Amino acid sequence: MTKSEYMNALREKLQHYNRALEMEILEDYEQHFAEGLAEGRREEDIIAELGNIDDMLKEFSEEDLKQELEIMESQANQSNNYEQLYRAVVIEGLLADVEITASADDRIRIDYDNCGSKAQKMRYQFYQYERDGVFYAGVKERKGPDRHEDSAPESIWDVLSVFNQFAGWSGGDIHLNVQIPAGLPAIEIDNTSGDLRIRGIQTQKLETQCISGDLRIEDVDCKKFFGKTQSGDVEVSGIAMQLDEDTEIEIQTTSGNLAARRISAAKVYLHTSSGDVSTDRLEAGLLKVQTASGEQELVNIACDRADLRSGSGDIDAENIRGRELNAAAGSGEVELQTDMEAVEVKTGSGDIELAASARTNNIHMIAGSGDINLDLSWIEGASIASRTGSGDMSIRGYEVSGRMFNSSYGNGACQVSLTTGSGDIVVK
Amino acid sequence: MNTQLKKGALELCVLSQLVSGDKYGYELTERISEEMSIASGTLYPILRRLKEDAYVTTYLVESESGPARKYYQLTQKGREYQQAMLQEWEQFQTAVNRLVRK
Repeated sequence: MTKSEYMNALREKLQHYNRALEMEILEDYEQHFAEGLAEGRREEDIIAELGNIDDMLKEFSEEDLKQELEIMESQANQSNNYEQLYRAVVIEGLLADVEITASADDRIRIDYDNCGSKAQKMRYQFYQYERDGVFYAGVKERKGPDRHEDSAPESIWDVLSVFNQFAGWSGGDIHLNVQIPAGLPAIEIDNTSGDLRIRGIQTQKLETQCISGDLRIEDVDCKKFFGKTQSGDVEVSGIAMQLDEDTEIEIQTTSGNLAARRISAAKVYLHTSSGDVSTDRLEAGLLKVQTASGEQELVNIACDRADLRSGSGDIDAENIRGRELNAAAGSGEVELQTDMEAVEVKTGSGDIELAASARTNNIHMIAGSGDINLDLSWIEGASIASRTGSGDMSIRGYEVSGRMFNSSYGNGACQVSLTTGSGDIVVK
Repeated sequence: MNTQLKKGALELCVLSQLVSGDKYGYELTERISEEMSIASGTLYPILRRLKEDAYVTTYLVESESGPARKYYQLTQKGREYQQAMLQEWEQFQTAVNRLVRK
């Protein structure tokens, strides 16, 4: 054994002891070697005389050991590198803010950074393991040391666990930075309260879940994306999938808002409950947007079929182009400016406002108690059947005095059917 | 030599070596491990404990040609402790000698 091997072994074992002790013993041994070598002795002889490191360490007591906290503090910042190619990577961030970016090479890199309070450092730790070719990494709560049920003295764990109950989920100080190489088939992130940010990665299937954390996804190359959060907001941009393949984007949030820009997939599903949905530059084969009380604000959409549903939220779609559009709102208002072949709208108590395009050949609208406002100025010819329960009707400038009115103009090509219960109907 | 006996006696040996004058770590450990077959490494924890208990203090002397040397010096408390331990040891020795011969 060489001096440097012996000293490395010594250094490693001294890790478990408090820093002052570590420094002193290392210094003593260095000086001992220096003296021995100056005398012309050989490294091996000096090592033989110094003796077994573990035996020497037996001279120290429990109190000399590093305090738990010191060890945890040194573990609070770790960087790890993994080389193997896995079939999936699962990150369970818990309360940590997770950031995922592309790796510069073919390695997975994870930086765990706990810059929180002492209580935070003691309560949480980083873990990683592999099972069945899947790589797992994340943050979990540290288990306290085993204690007898009837041990009276209050250990630091007892004190801290009470404190932690009030400390809440504030995990803003714990960060997990993950760098992922291209070519991984599946990536899954499960967060509880931490935020999640994903940028510039490539995979086949990306699945993310948070409870209260926000979700922010930018420029991801994948074939399927599933994003779900409960109270967090979602902001997605730059996910371009091939429309002629079996690609899918599904995003769901309960009370958070959902904003999607520059996304495209064969199927796009956007769901919220009370949160609002806003999109800009979306392309889909089938687009489905569903909100309960949230509003829908959809701009610049190109799709084959669009299905927009809301409960009490309003639906506002501007420049939506495609083949079929189906919109239904409970009490919300529907305002559409479309370039579609067929448009069908149903509302309960909300008003309907539709501007159709030259391509439109079928319009079917039913408003319970709401008004209907239809702009056919771009349409060359249409056959219009309009019915109202108790409202007024004005069809292309002509004030209708009855409840039902059928008219047509031009080549009568576009079939229009408008029905309201108590609302007015105005067709331009 | 039996470890229990060794342990108790080692502190006394170290302190006694310092009575005649300050010594640096290597000097001390070489002298003691010459006489007793012990790993010199185990003396460093003992030296550290003696310093923590304030029986010795240390100081560094820089050397022009060689490494710096950490010197150990007995404190007043250390002297008194060494005296007391030496007495106990001599009493112990006498008692054992008597008992093993009779």
